[in-house]
Order: sequence, then structure tokens, then C-alpha cells
Amino acid sequence: MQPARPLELAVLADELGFDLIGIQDHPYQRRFYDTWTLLTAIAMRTQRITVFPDVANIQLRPPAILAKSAATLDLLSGGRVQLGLGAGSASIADAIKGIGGPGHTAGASVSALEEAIQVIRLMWSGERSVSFDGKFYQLAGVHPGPMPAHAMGIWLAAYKPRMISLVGRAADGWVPSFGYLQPSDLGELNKRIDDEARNAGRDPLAIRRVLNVGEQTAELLVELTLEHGMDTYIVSGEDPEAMRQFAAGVAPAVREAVAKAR
Amino acid sequence: MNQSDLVALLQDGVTERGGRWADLGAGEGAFTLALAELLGPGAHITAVDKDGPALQSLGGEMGRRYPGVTLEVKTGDFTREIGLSGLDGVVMANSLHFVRDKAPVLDSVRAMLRPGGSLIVVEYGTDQGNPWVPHPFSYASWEKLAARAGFAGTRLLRTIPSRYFGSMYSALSIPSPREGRGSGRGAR
Repeated sequence: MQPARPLELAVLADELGFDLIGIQDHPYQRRFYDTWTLLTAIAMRTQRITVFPDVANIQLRPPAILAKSAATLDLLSGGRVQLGLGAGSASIADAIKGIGGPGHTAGASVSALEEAIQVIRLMWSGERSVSFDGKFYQLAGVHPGPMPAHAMGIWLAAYKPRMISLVGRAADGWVPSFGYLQPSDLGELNKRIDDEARNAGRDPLAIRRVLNVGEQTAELLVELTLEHGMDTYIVSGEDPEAMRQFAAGVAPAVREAVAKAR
Repeated sequence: MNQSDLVALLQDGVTERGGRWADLGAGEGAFTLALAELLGPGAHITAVDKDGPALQSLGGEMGRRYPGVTLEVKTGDFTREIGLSGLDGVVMANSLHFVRDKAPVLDSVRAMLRPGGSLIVVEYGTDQGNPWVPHPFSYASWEKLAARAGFAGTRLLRTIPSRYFGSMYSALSIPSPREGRGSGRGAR
């Protein structure tokens, strides 16, 4: 790939009217750019589109620094950042360890992510000084800031019960991918998120439901929206012609069908 | 997956040792090395990928592990003309799912193979893609796709569990004889 190709595709997505660009985060992959550097470059080259890590591996990104990076880019971009987070699957623990991360077990990785979310929110709190004494992360009288330009969402990649529970209790969005679940799984998992949110005194409707899909028909996206509770779709952005067809044909057709049905 | 998993996916589709094969979309060459293990000394493998540096490192690894196998690397896009013909076999492992319009690619792969040559595809067992595996195809879909593209005798070789997309399969297809090739000459 030409070095600037991701930026060219991002500019095209911006021009075509896409709402979001997600960049996956696998620093141990030799061919991949650093996610935050690429998100920053994209945000500075585009005008209106929102960017997010899809999703940042919290085991490789200290949460206080990640909070600061995200807030900084949100300010520089005029509020065009969301924060996708993942616990770091146990199946890639060796790769995480190989590049200097802890390589947590599955259970520990969820506990660490839950702490990380608290740390990030403290760093965005606007308080004069914050402390946190967790098992995995600590803050000791740090002066948090800068504040993000807008109420930035924390979106979690989640599939298993503890992570799904965490979405409902503590996150602003759910961002799973086909590949780790099927369309038929979505309804039940969305219901669990709703239940967890209500139990925590939160509004389930305030939790965004973002799905990483491949190229899909308008019919399937309408079905995923109306019957399975998803509201946002991330599609492949490698083929300019496919992007044009999606923006001109599929996306408006889905919006129209959903509006009509509601 | 380790090397033995990769070998297991390919092995029932490699019935003769030696010969001339190509790995299209070889990446860092995990399946190329598995193919080399199965083909053995005297084989000639052409590894094709857009990532030139990855292919260069594959060359060193092949020389150390399978010195009797001749590796040729081609930096290029296998969806375009890459100048291969008369091959005994082609492997496309987790590469065809990046291609949206597969028919022209399969047509050119068919032209690369000698009559009776082998095409082995390795893919995830799903038709639901995501942004990073945008156009996958289940084995059931591959049977139809291969038949439409002029391949015959498609059969499932092996299925293994995969955390990503649930399963991964390998399948073998043989190019059907091209219509009109002999009759065209005879009509002159």
C-alpha cells in the first residue's frame, strides 16, 4: 500500500458523507500503522467525519495517557473523536506480551478494563486533582486535563457476559464485529446490555450500538437495525468504488427504510 | 495456528510431490512454508503479494527450512496479470476474501493452471464479513462460485475451529476444460 493511501481513503469517506472512521489497533502487526498517529493524521486532513480507535487495546495503552491523547485530538478536531476500547483478548496474550504489555488472562483483562474506564473518566472530569487506587492502575494526585471538546463516548468491544455487563453499567457504546458473533446473537446481547443499564440506573437508549460488518445489502442492514437493535455500521473502506456505491445507494436506502418503518 | 495446522489444511489437496505451484496473496508466507513442506525438494513455488518486504523475509526462511524448494517471489497484485501459466497448483489462503468481484480473478487463476491442476482455497466458514475480512464465503458459497467460474469437482478438504468466524475450511477445485480450445484449431 502507498504510505498515504489510508489518508486518501479517509478524505474520500469524509467527502462521500460517511459519519465515522474506525481504525483497528494491533501494534504487534508489522504492517500496521500506529492507531493514534493515524487517527490524528486523519482528523487533521478531514473536515466533518468522526474518528475512533476500533478498538484501542487497553493493555498496550495506559488509560490516563490514552484519555489525554483522546481529549487532545477531540479538541484539535472540534469534537470529532469517540473512544473505542477493548480488553485485549487472552487469545492474543502472547502478542501483547511480545510488545511489552502484560498479556492478562481473560478474567484479569476485564477487571483491568473496568478500572481503566474509571481512570479515563477521572482524567476527563475537570477536577483539580484526582487519585485512584486500583489493582491494575493507580493515580496519585494527578491534575487531569485537558477536558475533551464534547462528551466523548467510551465504546467497548464486548462479547462475553462480564464484558456485556460492563457495557451496560459503564460504557456509552457497544462495538462488536461480525466474525466474533452472528446476526442472531445481537438481539439477546442487546437485551442484556439494556437490562444491565437499567439495573445501574442508566438509560439503555443512551448506549450506541455500533457493528463492524463487511459489505452488506441494504436489506440486511435494515433488518439489523429494526430487528436486532443496532444503529451504526462500520463497513470496509479499502475500495473507493464500493465506498461510493455504499454512500450513494445502500446508506440512503437503509435510512429511508428505517425511517418509514418507525 | 501453528505450521502443522496449516499443513493439515492443505495436505489432502497436494497429492504429488514436486511440481510448480503458486501462493497468491502469500503475505508473510505461513501457507507458503506449509506448501513447501508438502511438496518437498524439487518443487518450485511462486509467492505473490503486494507486500514486498514480507516476501523478502520469506525467502530467507524458506532457504533455511526447505533448501530443496525453489522460491520465486513476485511483488504484485494477484487481481491483475502476473504472468503465471502451466502451474500444477495454486493456493489462495485467506486472500480471496479481500476481493469483491471474484469472477475475473478466478478466470485468471484458471488460466494459470495446467489441465487437471489444483486450486486450494482456505477461507473462514462464513458469508458475513467485517471491515477487515470484507468478502468471505462459506464452503457452500464456494461450491457455487467455483462452478460458475469454470471449476469442477470442488470438494471440502478439511474444517478446523477458529475463534475468528467460528471455523476455517480448505477446499480443492479443478479447472474444467476450456470450451472450444480443440475445436477451434480443428476448424481451420
